[in-house]
Amino acid sequence: MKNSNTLTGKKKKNSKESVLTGISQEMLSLVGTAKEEYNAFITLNDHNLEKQVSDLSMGEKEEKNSLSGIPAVLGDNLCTEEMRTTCGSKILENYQSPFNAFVVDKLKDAGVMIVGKANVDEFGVGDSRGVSYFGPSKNPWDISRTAGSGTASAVALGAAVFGLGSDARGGLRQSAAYSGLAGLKPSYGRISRWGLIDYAPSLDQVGILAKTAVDIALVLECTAGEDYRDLSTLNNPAPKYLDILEGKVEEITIGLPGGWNDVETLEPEVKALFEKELAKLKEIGCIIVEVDLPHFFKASATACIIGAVEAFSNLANYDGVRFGFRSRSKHLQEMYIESRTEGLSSFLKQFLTFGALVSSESHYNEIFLPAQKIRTKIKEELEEILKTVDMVVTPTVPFRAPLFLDLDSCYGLDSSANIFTAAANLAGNPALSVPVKSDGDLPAGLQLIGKFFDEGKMLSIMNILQK
Amino acid sequence: MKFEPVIGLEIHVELLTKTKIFCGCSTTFGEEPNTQTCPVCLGLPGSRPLLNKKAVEFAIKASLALNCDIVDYTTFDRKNYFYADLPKGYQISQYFFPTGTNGYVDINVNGENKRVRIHQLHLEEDTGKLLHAGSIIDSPYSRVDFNRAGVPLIEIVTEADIRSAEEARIFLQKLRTILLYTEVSDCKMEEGSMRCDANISIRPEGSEVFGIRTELKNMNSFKAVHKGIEYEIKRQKKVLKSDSEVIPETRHWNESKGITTAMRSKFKASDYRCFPDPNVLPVKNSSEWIDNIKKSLPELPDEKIERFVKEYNLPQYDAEVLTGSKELAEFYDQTVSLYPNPKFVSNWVMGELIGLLNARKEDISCCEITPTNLAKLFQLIDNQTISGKIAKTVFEEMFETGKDPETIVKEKNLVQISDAGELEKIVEMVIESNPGPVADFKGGKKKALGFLVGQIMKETKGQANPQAVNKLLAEKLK
Repeated sequence: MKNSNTLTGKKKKNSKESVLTGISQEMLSLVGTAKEEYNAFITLNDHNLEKQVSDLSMGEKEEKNSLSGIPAVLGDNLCTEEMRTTCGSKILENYQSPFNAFVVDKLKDAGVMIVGKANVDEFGVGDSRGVSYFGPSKNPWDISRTAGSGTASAVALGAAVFGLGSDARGGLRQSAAYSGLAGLKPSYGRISRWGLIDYAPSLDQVGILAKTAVDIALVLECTAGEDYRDLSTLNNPAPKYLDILEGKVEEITIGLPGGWNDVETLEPEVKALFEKELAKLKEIGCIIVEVDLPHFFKASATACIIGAVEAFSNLANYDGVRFGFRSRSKHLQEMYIESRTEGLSSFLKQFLTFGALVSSESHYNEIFLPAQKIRTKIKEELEEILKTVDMVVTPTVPFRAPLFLDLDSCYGLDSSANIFTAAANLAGNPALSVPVKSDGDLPAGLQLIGKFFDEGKMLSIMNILQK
Repeated sequence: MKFEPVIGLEIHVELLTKTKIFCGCSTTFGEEPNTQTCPVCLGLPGSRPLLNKKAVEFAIKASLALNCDIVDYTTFDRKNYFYADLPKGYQISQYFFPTGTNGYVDINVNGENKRVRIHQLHLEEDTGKLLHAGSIIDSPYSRVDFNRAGVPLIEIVTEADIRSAEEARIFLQKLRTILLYTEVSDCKMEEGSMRCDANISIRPEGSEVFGIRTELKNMNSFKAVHKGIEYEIKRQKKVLKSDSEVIPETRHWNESKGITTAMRSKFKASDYRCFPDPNVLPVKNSSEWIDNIKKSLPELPDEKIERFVKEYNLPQYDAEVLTGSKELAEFYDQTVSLYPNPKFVSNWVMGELIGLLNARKEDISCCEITPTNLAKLFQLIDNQTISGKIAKTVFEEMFETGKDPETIVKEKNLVQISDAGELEKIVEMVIESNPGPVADFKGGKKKALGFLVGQIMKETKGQANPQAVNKLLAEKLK
């Protein structure tokens, strides 16, 4: 955990060339470690990486902007032309996408060096279990614990300065909390999802993992913006986030939902770390008020139902017909059943089956429809509260990185890992997990949930906390 | 016991948008398999649909033409099922809010007016197409062509108002005519851009309860619709008369054998788990937009028929034939505007023009004759340049070559002989060489005159002015 590469830190200190070669050599060895010892990567950008590094040291690549030459990692559910995209699943083990995700093109245009594709929960389902067909992603703080995702593992190790992943019920923020990183799930529609292989399109967003608020702001500025291939991004041009960070922070009121400390799985250590960080927020001038969000704590179960229904349908294209794993079989029906039985993990299949069940005619009205209504309630409630406060604060996850041994008890269909995070996905609001470090022990996370497209303000708060 | 057939139709019609409903791929028919595909219509991971507004507009246009109420808000819903021709594992369709509801089409069955109600019209995407070597059973492979996947479709569902195979055919033809007028589809049954399934049951006449129905598929022409339904009605009657029950199932019309065969048992309540697609935003059909589309509708067949009867004083039958296609009706309209004798024009168009078109199996769009030239032809008759009989020869020449009638008349030297001096010589010659008929006529046999006129026409190759000939003969034979 000594290698704390951050974009801003390095850039200021040295001249461009030495920074870049410096990062590259150091990084290459870290990438190797991350892959071999932490299983953070599914695929390394081997060939291209070395070429990019040598291009950089020769000074051939012009610095287009502040991200030029910066190493980054992508969750393996973001499509890339130069590497396979597996989604952590056997069914896509050798899948080569014919196109780049919108964010991948954006990063490449900015001169970012993509070091590889990181381990992800199979199709993102499992959120922050951090286990896929390719094995577990180990936590740099304690290798017997999950990092939540390979992306988090790689960034925490310093094998990349930042990482992009997906966040449907809170997975990206949780992995940030587990690994001592900052994790931003932007507003729904802030970043184009073209090329993101999501499991729940109404919940999923492309999110950013990094160590500092400034790094996240830089990456957000690069990747946000309009894309006609994702209609939710239209009519909301992204502001200059760095300018917002450098600007003055007005007096901020933050709402703390009543009942946050009644959550059953809340670890005393997390509670203590969170309260300590709350005190810091007060110190920097924030006003903390308790707010009433009765439906907030139903978000996890609600997102589980909606997520499962969407996933059951969204993942129906993995049928062995056009691409991906196909089992040998005598006829079409058998081909579907065998390909999916062998190609998908039992954890994922449980979730898909649950989705098929609650959307079936016999359960639609008693489960799926009420879940949609509660979703509306959660959204309205949050919208109302955010008229009176600037943002809402909670712990990110009730517990710290779980031991691999305990994963099955922590993560069921509806995981209590999602208890604080899912509301932002259901409502579409931006949410940021701020790392809360403890002395020598495992880190935790503090979550800020903001108004729509108010990412800048949350990053400003974090920036001040980090100073 | 007398039985009454009860029939409802489900018609799928491909819309004539240039691109598919959720991506930019071309919709052209008949291209090499899988050349008109992209990540979106192939359902590749990470791709997302982008709604083609033109498809929504066409669905509204078709709904308006079928007298439907238009929904003001609609979602695009996922209908989930697995099949090899369905790339995403679900079809995007308007399940909850169909574009049009409560419409109707009026048809004329043997002189009787009848209204067939439209239950709904909804927009959806087409699937790909399975390709086999020969029949699906014997083929060593199944291949999938996704060129068709994502082509916008409207599905039109009628109420069970149809009572015979003939009514079904007449309804379908009228529906096709209306849709062709609106230009939302080319409605080619043989290319599959219009496909019709029929739900058929029979019940004792006078009964209010529906019998057990079968769904009939694979009728690829109007004739097939007629024959298939007729066969199925007979089959069901036979089943009921033998005291058995009709099995609710999907049946297949076998064109070559002329029978229907069972395909699969149906109605086991397939659960499509429909829910709004989170990737396609709901659409609001503003009343302003709907009004604009309404304004863009052409005059529809029923309105045209009414106008032709009222304005042109045409018999109902003429009006119906002339409005059979928009192009024909426009041709007629334009000709009448240049030559304002509606019934005369109607006789020519319905007799000569449609006759020739049918003989050549062509339609009016490939016709070489322009309304201007046709009107010129009629004027040549009027000013006695040519006779009505010669006009038909000229007309055929116009049809073949597209030349204007004056040129043809000049080139072929078809000008009518009206010159009294010239005609007189011929008349005298014919009288001289036909003493028998002349005597017959003078003896009171009026019919003999016709023979003499015929001889004169023969001599002049039909170019003699018939009125002048008649007049001259009458004088000479006094």
